[in-house]
Amino acid sequence: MAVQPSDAELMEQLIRREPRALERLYDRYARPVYSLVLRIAQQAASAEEIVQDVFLQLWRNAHSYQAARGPLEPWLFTLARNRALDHVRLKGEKQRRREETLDEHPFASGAPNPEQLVDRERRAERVRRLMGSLPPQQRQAIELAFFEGMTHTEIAEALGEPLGTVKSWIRTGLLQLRESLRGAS
Amino acid sequence: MSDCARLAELYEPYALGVLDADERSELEAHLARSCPTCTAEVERARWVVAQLTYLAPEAKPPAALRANVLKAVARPSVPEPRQSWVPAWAWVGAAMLVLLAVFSLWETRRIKRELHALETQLRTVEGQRQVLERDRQRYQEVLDILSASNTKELELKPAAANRLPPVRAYWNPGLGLVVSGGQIPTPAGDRTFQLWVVPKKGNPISAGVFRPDAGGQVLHIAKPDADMAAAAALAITEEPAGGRPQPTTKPLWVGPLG
Repeated sequence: MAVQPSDAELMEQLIRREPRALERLYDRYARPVYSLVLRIAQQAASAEEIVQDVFLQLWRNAHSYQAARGPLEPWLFTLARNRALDHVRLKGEKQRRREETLDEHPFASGAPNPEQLVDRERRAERVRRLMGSLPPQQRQAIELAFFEGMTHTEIAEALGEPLGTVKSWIRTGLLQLRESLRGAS
Repeated sequence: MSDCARLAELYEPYALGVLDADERSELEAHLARSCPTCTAEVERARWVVAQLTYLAPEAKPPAALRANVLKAVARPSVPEPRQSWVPAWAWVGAAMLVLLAVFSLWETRRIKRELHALETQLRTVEGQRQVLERDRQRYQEVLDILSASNTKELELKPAAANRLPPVRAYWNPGLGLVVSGGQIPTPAGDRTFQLWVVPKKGNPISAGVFRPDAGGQVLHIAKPDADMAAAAALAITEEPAGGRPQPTTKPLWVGPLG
């Protein structure tokens, strides 16, 4: 079985403008990226447009990625999430689209190395299991924040709960998730 | 309580993007001061938040999306092997330039030769034109003298001892003097004929030198300084090249005036 190149190696190839590297990264990450973007944008056509934009931005700005600063996966997920939220906000005329570069959210050495992570399926299962174990309102508060881009205040208003309660739900939920994934980091 | 300890509860909410503006500004101002602890913790929090991606219901992206992405960046993934630092087309171009240079050199020389020949031809033509122009002017002067109503005609007869044909002279007080004749033998060597105005008193006055052309034709035009009204005759002698101030030989032709 052939050894698959690491994300860092593929990013190096991307900097050398080798389309084959983008093809491999797409095959590796298109499904979770598309799932995330579709969940946020809620429309397939918009999701396809955003995903294409994300991978083309990865192609264009590969030089701004530095492997030493962290793994590609969360970097790419954050980029996709921000793009999708921007799209929704722009569509709703809520907020001017942010001009964001790949440098805005670096993942430094504090984040786990992907080669040391449990495989993605196991990690995804841990996330789903932990979030499934949370009280429904706590889980909903986190999902409103992550998928809808709401702030503490907006979530409190949406759920009709005190602001302090919402803050506590989100923070404790994320800390539990962090603990749950500790073995994966 | 240090800033870091107080801000620790904001790491995950900040990474999730749920902080209100004032809390976000406070943490960002702290991060801007390059706090290593908070920077590392915020980065870890971002990684945790990114894992929430797996909460999204799994969806398979359409095949056309993959094709579109790859099509947008499509080009040869492996650079063409370098066989030479000079591409083939450059060699072809260089060879063509050399051929062009050789051809240009040859062509330049040929054009120079042709140009030189043309310049020579032009000079010849210009010389001929000048000769013709001089002839035209001479014939025009002759015509003016011959056609003028106050022109006098006289015949210069050869001396008794020779068998030269006679020549004719036409004199106009304002236009000058013309001497013409045919079948005139060419003087030997570089000797020449010289026309003289012979006054009633005093020495003869030169009116120019001339030689017949190859056909023995003579057409001599002169504007003598002499007072023609006081002249008694015209005479022609044979003299050394360039003529002489006074006749050195006996006249070959003589014609009385008036």
